[in-house]
Amino acid sequence: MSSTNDMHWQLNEQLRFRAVGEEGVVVDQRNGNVMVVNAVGLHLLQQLRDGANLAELNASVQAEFAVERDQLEADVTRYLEELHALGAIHESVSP
Amino acid sequence: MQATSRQQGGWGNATLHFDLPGVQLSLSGLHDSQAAALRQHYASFLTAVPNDASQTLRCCATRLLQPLPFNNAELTCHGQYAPRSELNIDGSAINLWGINFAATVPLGPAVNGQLAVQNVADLAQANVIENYLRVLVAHQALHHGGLLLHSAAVVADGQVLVFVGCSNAGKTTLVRKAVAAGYQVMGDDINLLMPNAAGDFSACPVPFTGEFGRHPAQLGGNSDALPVAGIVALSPGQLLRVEPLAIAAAASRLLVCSPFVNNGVACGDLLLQRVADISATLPTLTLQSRREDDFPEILSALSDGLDGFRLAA
Repeated sequence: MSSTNDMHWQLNEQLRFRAVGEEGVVVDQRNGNVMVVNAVGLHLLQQLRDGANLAELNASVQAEFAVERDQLEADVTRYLEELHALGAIHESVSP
Repeated sequence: MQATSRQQGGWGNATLHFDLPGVQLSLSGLHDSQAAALRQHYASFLTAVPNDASQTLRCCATRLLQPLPFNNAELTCHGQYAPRSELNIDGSAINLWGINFAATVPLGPAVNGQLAVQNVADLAQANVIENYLRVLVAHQALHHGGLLLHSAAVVADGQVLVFVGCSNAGKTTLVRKAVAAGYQVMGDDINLLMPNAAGDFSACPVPFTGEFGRHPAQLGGNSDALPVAGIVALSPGQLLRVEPLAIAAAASRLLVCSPFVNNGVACGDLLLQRVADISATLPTLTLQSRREDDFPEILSALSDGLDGFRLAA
């Protein structure tokens, strides 16, 4: 998966998620898989739904959560790779 | 694919009115022998006339004239029998195929449902009528603020503990222990939670059973809805251990245990909302227990996590 700062992703249309307490619950309607994501994971899903690119994702997480920038960018990239591997997101040319 | 395009003609002129929690259904076109068998199995869930005809869903029992488009091996999921279902093209009904039947389950009073079988005796078999009613109740409950759950429900002190878990999680074992200890059981496999006037949730008896089957200690009929004291998620383990479950984890466990509406038939957002509502309203715990733990011991362990819950049968 390539990941340049202006890269956009689209959520799979069969993916549903919702904030529950301070975390998020995600269900993939294609296979019934369910997962719980923490507050940062939920925030990223919300940003992805709104069409944020990688630079915007990094900026929004840094604005919302107290994390080191280098660690943040690595964590965001790894999270996107995990979502991509699950088929939860796919690369998009433009928002 | 239309589930009931290859059927025609009813079996007879009998009609039964089902009064189930959250839904009323008039099932017409029945042969007298089908009606008699259904009366025997569902006596406490039948009514002479619908309470509200305008909101009553309708279904006609019909003859299935051609073979089903699936063989039995295709009607399984994770090694268990699982009827095929899909939302129809305009979202007004669920098309359903199972062993020996094809059906259309209406989602509202504007649609007429069908339940088609090849042989007259097939309709009242549990794998036909009960699967039809399960799918009907699951969808109607979801749209009326409730949720059908793979669970065992045990009554203690006028309240219900709902033990959620999919197949082989230990529900039937737990029910056997509860009955042996003198507790009443609401259901051993499938139970229905519906919102109540107190802003909480009640467990409502439904005519669905699992391996444990019907038992004298089992409640029946609509009058026995009881408040839910808490949800208990069954987990494998080698100790008797109870732990609180975080709200999102609780919601995810409920999602996994919500049959017929968690399989991609376009219920995602509503189902997420429902499990979030329930997990925010009811205390939820995880339970690990050993084969030798009896039910009073299990209840004693659970009571610490359920404020105000007492142990009386």
